[in-house]
Amino acid sequence: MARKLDCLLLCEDKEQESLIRPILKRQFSRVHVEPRKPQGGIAFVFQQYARLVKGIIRRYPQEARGLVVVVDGDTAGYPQRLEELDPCLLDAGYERRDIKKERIAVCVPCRNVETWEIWLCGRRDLNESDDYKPDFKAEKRRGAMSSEMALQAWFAQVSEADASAERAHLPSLSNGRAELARLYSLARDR
Amino acid sequence: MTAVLTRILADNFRALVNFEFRPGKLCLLLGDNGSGKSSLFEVLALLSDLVVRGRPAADLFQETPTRWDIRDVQRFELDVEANAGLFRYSVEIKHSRDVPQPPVIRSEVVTCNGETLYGFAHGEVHLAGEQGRPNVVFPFQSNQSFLANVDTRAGRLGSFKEFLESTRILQPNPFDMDRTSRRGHLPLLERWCRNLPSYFDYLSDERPDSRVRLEARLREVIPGFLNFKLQRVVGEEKFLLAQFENPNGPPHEFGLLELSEGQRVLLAMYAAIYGMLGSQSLLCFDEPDNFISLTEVQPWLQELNDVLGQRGGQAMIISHHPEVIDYLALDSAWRFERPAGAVVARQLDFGSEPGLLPSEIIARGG
Repeated sequence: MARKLDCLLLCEDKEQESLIRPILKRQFSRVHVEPRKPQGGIAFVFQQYARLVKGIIRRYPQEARGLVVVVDGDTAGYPQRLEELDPCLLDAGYERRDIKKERIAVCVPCRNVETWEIWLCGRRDLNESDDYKPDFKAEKRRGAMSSEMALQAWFAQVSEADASAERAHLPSLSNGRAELARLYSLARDR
Repeated sequence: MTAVLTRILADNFRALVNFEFRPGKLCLLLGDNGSGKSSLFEVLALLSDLVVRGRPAADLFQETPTRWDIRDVQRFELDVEANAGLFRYSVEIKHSRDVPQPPVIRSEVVTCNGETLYGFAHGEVHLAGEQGRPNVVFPFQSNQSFLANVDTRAGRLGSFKEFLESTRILQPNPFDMDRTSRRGHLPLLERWCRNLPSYFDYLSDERPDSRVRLEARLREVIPGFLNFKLQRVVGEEKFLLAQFENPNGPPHEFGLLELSEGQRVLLAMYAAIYGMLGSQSLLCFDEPDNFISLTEVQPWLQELNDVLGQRGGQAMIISHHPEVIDYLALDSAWRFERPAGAVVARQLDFGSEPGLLPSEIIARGG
């Protein structure tokens, strides 16, 4: 009987879900999106993160199940977001150095997930400080960009030049790709 | 063709009194028992039976007027936004409260962008000529809709009828499903999904891509499931058999009724998504989560959402299940209530209520 790989997705909003869930769906048998609370936002993610790490990941260490946490970097940025998430892990009994061995992936789109989507849809004059959310919304309305296009680009072959540009312009995206690849490999090997 | 239902009006029908509802692409209907959610689906089912299947008004609308309303006419309207323009369908059903006479159609009209394509009143049908053909007027009975005779390939009127043909109410009942395919190839699942084997037979012959997708999905959600097989019994009758992995030999085969109730419902719900959703279809699921295990509710909703995004179409879901509420309610949820007897629907806005999940808010009367 084929083994199933399950994944829990903890994210702030629908836009994050619309990009990340289909990515996970291609690799995991079942993706469960953690229910969001009205006005939950990042505070809700922090709160649920500790509960899921303790209640699911640490409690069932042999299970082929992963946890993906997505929080926008916003004006705080990637390193600060990781630091903010750390206490949740310590509370669950993890050391920071151990986390890379665990079935937990942390994605911090900077400045937000729309920056990732607009990059994946082909625009290259981007950085992680400016907010491109209005641009992405406008492109979506025009039908020129969409989360589906971004998804296709995520799985498309990337040239070395493009990968290098991505690392230079949007390191959070390269980190995100690496995190999801690491998680899939760990969950699969359980 | 794409078609989206943008407005329903029902007046003097059960607890729906001058009730108007404007559905979105995917909306969740919430409310207490008896709050009128299923009555809304009933309106769509009856209008579809009247217009598409040509069932007599007497069979459909008997004993449906609002009990406390003294008017003897029921009124229904549907607005459908399609490629050809904005269709409006209006029908009035006349009841005789004092004399024992069956209900009849008093008037029936279809317009497109305000232009009348079809009208029925005083025993006469008026058909507007399309594509250079002249207008025609002829007598017709008032107990059935003439629209049932219109070819769905015939111009704008046909397009509107095609939309109603693709509108389905689904409420799977695993205790009343056929074991075999024997009713010919029905292109749609019946409301209770009794004809599931026949529908699967239809998918196998006419929509093999949908069958492949359905089986692939079920391999993900039903442990050990491999494939379905249709085995001829006698004549056109075929058993629907599910094959399961057997590490020690050939696959085990189980009849549909040997599967669990939940597995049967899962099969029906995924068959509806892959086989029936399209750019002009409206699927109305009435408590689809019954019988389905907790872990399977959200994956089915995700698939529904994804296929709606890919193929277009529209869906409405009635549910009391926390998994469904928490997944859908923040985007588009309507609460049905009867504060003074008649049904009112209000779109839920959780914006000012942080701290609780939508299902927790609903359970506490929010």
